[in-house]
Amino acid sequence: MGDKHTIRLQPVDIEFEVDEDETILDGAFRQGLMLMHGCKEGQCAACKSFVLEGEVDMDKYSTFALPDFEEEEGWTLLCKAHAVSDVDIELVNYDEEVLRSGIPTKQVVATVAELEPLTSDIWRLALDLDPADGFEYKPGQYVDITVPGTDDVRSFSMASVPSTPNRLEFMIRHYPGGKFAGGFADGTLQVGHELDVKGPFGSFTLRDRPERRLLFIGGGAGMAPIVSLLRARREAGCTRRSVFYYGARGTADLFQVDELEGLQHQLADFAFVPVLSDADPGPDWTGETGFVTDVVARLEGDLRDVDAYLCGPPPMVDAAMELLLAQGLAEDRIYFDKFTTSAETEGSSL
Amino acid sequence: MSRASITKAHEKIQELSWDPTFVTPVEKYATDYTFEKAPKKDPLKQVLRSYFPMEEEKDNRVFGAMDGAIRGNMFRQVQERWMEWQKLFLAIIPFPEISAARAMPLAIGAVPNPELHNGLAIQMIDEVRHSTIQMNLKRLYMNHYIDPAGFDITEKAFSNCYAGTIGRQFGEGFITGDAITAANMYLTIVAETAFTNVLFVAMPGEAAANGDYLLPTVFHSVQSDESRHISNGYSIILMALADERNRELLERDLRYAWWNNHAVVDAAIGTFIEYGTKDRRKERDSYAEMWRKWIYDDYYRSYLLPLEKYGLTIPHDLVEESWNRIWNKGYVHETAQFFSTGWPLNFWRIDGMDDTDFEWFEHKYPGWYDKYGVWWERYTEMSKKAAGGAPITFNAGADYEYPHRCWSCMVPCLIREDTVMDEVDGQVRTYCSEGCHWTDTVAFRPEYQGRATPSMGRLTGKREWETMYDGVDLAEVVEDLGYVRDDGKTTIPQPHLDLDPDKMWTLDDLRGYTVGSPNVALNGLSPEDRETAMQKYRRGGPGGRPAREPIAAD
Amino acid sequence: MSTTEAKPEATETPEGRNVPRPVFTDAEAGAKEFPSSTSRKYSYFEPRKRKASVYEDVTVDVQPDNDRHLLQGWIYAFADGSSGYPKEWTGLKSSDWHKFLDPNEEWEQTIFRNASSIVRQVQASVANASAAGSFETWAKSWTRVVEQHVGAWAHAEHGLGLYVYTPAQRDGPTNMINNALSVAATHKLRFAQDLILYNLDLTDKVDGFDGQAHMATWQTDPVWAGVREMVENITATRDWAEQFFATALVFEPLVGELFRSHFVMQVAAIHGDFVTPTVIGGGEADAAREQRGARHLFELLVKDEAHGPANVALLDEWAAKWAPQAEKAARLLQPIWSQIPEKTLRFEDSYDRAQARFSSQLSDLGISTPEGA
Repeated sequence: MGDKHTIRLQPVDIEFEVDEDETILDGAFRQGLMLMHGCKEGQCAACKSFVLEGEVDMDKYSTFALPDFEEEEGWTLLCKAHAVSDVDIELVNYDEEVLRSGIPTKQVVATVAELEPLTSDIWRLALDLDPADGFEYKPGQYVDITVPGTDDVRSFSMASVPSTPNRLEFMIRHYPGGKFAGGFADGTLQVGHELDVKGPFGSFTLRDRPERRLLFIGGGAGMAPIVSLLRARREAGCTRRSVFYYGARGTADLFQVDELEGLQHQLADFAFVPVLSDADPGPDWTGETGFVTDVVARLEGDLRDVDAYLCGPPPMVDAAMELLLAQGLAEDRIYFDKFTTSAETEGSSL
Repeated sequence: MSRASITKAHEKIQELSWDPTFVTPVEKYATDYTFEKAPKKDPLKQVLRSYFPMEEEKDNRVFGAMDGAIRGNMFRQVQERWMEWQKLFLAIIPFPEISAARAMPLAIGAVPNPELHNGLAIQMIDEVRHSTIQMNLKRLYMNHYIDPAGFDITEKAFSNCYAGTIGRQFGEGFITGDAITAANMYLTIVAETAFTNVLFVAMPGEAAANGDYLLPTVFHSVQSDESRHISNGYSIILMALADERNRELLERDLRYAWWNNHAVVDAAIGTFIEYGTKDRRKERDSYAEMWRKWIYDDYYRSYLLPLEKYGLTIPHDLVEESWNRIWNKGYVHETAQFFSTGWPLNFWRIDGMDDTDFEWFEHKYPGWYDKYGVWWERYTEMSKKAAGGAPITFNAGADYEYPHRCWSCMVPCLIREDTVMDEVDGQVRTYCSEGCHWTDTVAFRPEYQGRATPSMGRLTGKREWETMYDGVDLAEVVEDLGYVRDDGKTTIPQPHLDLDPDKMWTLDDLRGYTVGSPNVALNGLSPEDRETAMQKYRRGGPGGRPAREPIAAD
Repeated sequence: MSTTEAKPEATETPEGRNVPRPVFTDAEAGAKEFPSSTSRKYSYFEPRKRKASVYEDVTVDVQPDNDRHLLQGWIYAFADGSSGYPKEWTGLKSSDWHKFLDPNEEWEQTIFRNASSIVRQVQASVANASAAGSFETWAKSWTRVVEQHVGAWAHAEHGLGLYVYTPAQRDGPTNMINNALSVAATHKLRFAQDLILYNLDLTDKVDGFDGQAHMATWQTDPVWAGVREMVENITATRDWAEQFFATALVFEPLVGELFRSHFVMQVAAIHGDFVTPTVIGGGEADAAREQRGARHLFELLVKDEAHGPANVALLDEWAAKWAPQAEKAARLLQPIWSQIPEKTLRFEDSYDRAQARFSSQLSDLGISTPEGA
């Protein structure tokens, strides 16, 4: 046995340990990580990846698969590479869903358990699952729900956490003309009805990087997956410093405030900062006003040490991306779920 | 281009696609699979403006190596035993390559994901490159190797030789039938991801050990494109798995594709590697060892098994049975023996096995000599035409029963006890195994497990080669095939490597033996006689020995 | 028996390294004389000239055919029983499809050489122009033409490459035909990407250049509706030869050359733009190669001893079906001619030149030019 080193895979942020004597690919397999590979003989290039930091030694390989100039740039073949220090590797060829979640998607039938308006246009929907289906997901993921009586599907992120099994909770925005959420308002979808649910999907899941502070920015129904991540952190007793900026129009559009404010006491070093965009939010409002991104820009200083999670309507996500990049945050530290905003997709998050 | 600019460029080229509004796309190639639009990404982010210079660079290196090989007189040290088998291998392989190019629109038409279409289109360009670069390698062999006969008729021989027909499945299977069965399951998921390893890793290694470093150069340059193809296949199978309605089809196609690839590729490549090499160092991995490593461990255990939890039904039984056939049932040895038995019908020369070979086989496959050694001694004996005797094919002293052919994979039913006989579509057919019987009678049918499969392909063609020449004199057959050298009488195939014209077999030496079709004969028997004959056949082997004792009359 | 022996123990080198050892075999050409020892050319086809070209050697008969040497027939069929490369996949008929050899003689090495030199040339032109500051002098209205219309053109090339030529190369009855079609696909795909990445470069380098405008222009601007309709219609055509004909001999001269040769190439320079013609020029050269191939193929078919007249009749039908679509597409493009500041070129002049070339190509083949086109 040789020395052990830590391999960190980007941008999926998975860590594992390898022995110098084994190839990085074999080390990954030993940990049950399915990395893309082909021949394992240094010839097909399916496992070609980029060494961001650290050093590797290579066994014999084909220079067609890895020409010298590529090796000099930092490329390597994982099937022939041995770590001789801790190594950060950027994967190029991978399926993030498979690699990260490792949870197969399932098609199940769920029953509507609760349905209530949270604001004038955001509804809370809770679904009961059949325990026999064994449906699993990770905080931050989403499912596809079929619009009853059609083949159309809508995607919604869970606000619930997996520790409450067999119960999925959603926060769904009703856009005018929306086919799915339209059913909440006009009563065609009611408690007891059955829905086809498929999932989980998505990679808006929390990366384990204790040294980096967490910055959540959300808007509208984009609160759901962030709530799920925060609830999961509360359960795990996570102590990472974190802040959640949430943008809404007026006080009437704020919801889930009690839980979020409560989290400020339950979670170590967490702050919830609601921001209202209404020019005149009323006399009772003492909080922040304006665009959520402007508030982030004003209150946050250097952003280079954060991991940022963004979820909300595209203009908000785009503006936040622009801000974060301008503040020096690396692109691969930003994770986002962008809504599609047409009435057609009803604020589904994909 | 830097990586950041490639990412940006790749995002930009996605803007090229649009949803047609004037027409609904025509379904050129049908599939029974269903796909929902899914945001699967092309993880490799290939952009043509960096792709072309990269491939041009690879080309330059390949052509540079070709010049170097000729300048360095490489052919003074290549082994003829090895090069002769290249006449068959390189006759076959450009067709699967070009077929893979032709298969891409089948996948493009079936999968509603424009981002993957770009990756598939680049695969098409890759495959055109592979096919022509391999044809060009063969051309170089023809020009510079001592015996060009066989290379000079290469594509014709591919079209009319029984062995070419077997190889043709690995190609026709990519382009015909249900679009996803062909272009994704058979081509990408099984042929490219699993079996190209023995093709593109084992063959070059063995070529180098036999003095040929051009095949490694060309094949490594080909293999280095494989990452794109593996990635395309993986994206599509994940999309297929996302739809419950595809589950049975995926199960069916993985069974068919696995078993057919095993039957065809292991027969051919196994023979080339075990019987085409002169490298008999005990440390050299046998084909069985390579198979265990590349196909069983690297493909089955690390690629296929993880897909099980996504709902893919893995044919564990067939994987184990493939190994069983290779390790316990002598599949490769039986195949090599069959090729050699039928030497007059080949378009290459086959070297006999000597003591050095025997020793190696016995070391790698304990018990080999008892099963095959004596036959190979007879082969060497009967390869000398001076003996005046019949070719081993028709020589009663060979103690070899010419086999029935498998209707599905078209390799003969060499593992005699596994032979299945059944009347299918009004004809008595034989199959090498249960797996192949299932392929014809269950998989390639318009209905599968009660569901309609209107897009599934059919097995067709004159699948038993011997039927084509039933009752024809051997010399006439060889002449008709065109396997005759430029003196008009010496045959291209020879059962030895001696190029002394006096020792080479001619048409005259092959006259007087009649080719017969085992299938025609079988169909001509009464049902009872047929059953008796088949029972006796199943009791034959190993090494093609006819069954000795009569059946107990009870 | 083999003549050269390498005993296993002999492979042990003094250092104890266990590697295969080279053996002198003298298996090189000319070492011995015996029957066929000089048979060093592929003998199963008739080359065009005395000696076969590399193109012929690496292409001919790689795709088998029952009409050539295929003994046992195709061994897989589609559900309807058709197999291999069915000749019925086009309405045209030939006494010998194998007569077609690509006049451009494209094979692997030529494809990558040509394509690499074009992508390098394009990138060098953009870099030079950028260094010289020549994008800064572009008139606003010309910038709009490039961002919208040159950008929209990329979609047409992409559609033809990915959804016309790529599927068509599965369908032809010989390897030489399919090879030519796959090369055409390669060209179109590259050209589309050249154009769209050029659009990306301009987005970075030209103030106020809207890199997204091309999508709306292509999908909703009525000026482009005719082109898009025709491209979509060709993609939805089952007959590969009809696709090839409609693309190379109708769309290319009447629409492609109208926009590329008779508009962009003519007017770019007077607007201070020497880069766009370089990008477009790469595609022009490719399209000319495709047309050369198409003319050769259709010429063989109209002159076919057995099927010539029937082929001409069908080609007449195709011309009558596609020419009006191309004409409509062309005429809808007319407003672009008046969007440029330097009005040195009339649409009618451009159109007449496109039309003349279209008609002369058809009449050379003995195909009637449809009324009104």
